[in-house]
Amino acid sequence: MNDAAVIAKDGEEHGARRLRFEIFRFNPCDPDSRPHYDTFELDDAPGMTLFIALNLIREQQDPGLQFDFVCRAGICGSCAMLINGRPTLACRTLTGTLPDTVRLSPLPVFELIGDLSVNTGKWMRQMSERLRTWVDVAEDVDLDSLETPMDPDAAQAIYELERCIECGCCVAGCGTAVMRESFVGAVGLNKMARFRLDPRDTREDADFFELIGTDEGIFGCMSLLGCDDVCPKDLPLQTQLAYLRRKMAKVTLTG
Amino acid sequence: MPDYEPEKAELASRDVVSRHMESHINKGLGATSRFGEHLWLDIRLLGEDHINTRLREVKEICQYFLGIDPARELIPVRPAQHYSMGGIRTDAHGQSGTLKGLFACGEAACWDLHGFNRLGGNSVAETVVAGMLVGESMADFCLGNEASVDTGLVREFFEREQAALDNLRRRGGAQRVTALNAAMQSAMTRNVGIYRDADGLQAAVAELGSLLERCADIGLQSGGHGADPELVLAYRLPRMLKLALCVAQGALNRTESRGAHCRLDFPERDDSQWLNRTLARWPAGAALPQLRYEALDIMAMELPPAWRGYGSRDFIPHPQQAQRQREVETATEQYGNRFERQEALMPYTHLLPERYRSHNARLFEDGQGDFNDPEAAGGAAE
Repeated sequence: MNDAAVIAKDGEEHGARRLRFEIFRFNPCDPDSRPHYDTFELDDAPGMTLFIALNLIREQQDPGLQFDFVCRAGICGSCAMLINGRPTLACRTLTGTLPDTVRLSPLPVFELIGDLSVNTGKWMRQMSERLRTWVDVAEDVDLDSLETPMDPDAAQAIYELERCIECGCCVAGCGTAVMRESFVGAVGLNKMARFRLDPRDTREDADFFELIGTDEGIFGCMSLLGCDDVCPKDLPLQTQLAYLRRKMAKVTLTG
Repeated sequence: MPDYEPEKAELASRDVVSRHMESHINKGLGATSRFGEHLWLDIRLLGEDHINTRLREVKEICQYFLGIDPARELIPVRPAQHYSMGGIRTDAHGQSGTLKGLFACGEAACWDLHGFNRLGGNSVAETVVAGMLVGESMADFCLGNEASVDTGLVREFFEREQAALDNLRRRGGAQRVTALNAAMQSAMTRNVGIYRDADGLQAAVAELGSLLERCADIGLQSGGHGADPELVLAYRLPRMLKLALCVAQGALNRTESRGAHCRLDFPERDDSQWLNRTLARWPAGAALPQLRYEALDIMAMELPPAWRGYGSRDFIPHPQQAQRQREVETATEQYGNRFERQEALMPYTHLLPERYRSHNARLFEDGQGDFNDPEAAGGAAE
């Protein structure tokens, strides 16, 4: 792949924009490593995304650069990072929408694996186990009979919240999460809202209160709504958090 | 596409569309870009309304990943690898026949649900069903077997691998992982891709073999600490090359076309000689994989291979195909009950974990809803 100025055979534009990437570097496993920013330059191209740019940089300039892409289609949540300070998915970020200088940093709050790679999986796992993010059923399902059909409107409402890809942007953009390690984040609270809507889940509001009725849960939310601002799937976090807070507050009042 | 496939046009099956796209590019009719050749997909004729509602996902992909509006602009497309047919050969319970206690399911396994072509939607279906069944088998296996761990053996292998990684970091070899990786990708894409022939496959086998040898002299440019991606690639490259060689050699040996495996020099599907699976194993220290062939029993099939239903009838049937086809048709007429028919044609419930063997209720059967009144359908136990 040619790094020089783009002169496409079908006569498109010459002399593409030169991009400057300032990328956070630190390898916790290397005793000589110190946190710093390295600079890489690359020619822009039509339709280029950060997935393409970072892979080109790794292939041609620094084979030790750490970052995570899996699906490269905005659905797995692996590539979330700070792009000029804002948490979002890198695979879906077109360089054409960015200024000439792009500063890339790993998401805060999560354990750093190295450079731009963070351990969201570990964080999400402990949150899922803590909040029991699965359908709590009354008894074993009879696999031989037809399943109970779900109301299509209920299924649609659940789907809207189920679209979460656990990328961690909401946690990285959260005022509470950066201060309090044990805060479950919008991702956790959204999951509670999702299971509350599920007719198969036998938990009542008093049960959900046990899980999130503290300042590590819904009452830790300061309503800054950085989560809603940065969610790459446009989840309705603002309304869900407000709704949950009301329902959980009601539990305290009614006992 | 209508020029290539008059009946189905763009909606022909994936392998057919991919081949036509690739041959169009090979004729020099593709568009060129910094990242390779491609074609332009024009869906502007479908209109903005249709695109915004029915093709919302496509529109969002174009918007987010290309910065274009497909209602107004052309979409750059090219065929790409999407799914891997084949994998670890397992029995019906998901267990490997060559390593006790090794279970595999889904895309990593050859169960074998797909053969040479994976139908759309089957990937998710297989994942769900195989996960359910193989998970059960695994649990049963664990309950039924004691695990005695020889810590000495573990230590021996750990130290061996640790020494190899340390050596990789220190030795300062001349070969670069990114160059080797790019060469492997290029060899596979060029010669073991959509169109294959003997010359191309032979060249691929030779080149991949040479790349495998060069792996012995890999040197790292980075420090190789922790999750260093260069170290990861150095570790994986010889293994990926071995896998690539299994694919290339298998394709070279298979003198027919079947599903996604398309030989320009052997364009017909040949059920008379090649109704079998290629099984590959790599003996330690060998330069090439060892291939053997597992024949399929056409007389045990519910759907004996025939004409796929569209395109040309270019296949050589198995000698027993007609006979099995007659048996299947007879059984279909003879048994009205689907469970009896299944037992007669291809019994399989004995292969399932016990709790999945009973008869399942099905919509529109036995009073479970009325086919003529879908609103009244469904509902569990009466």
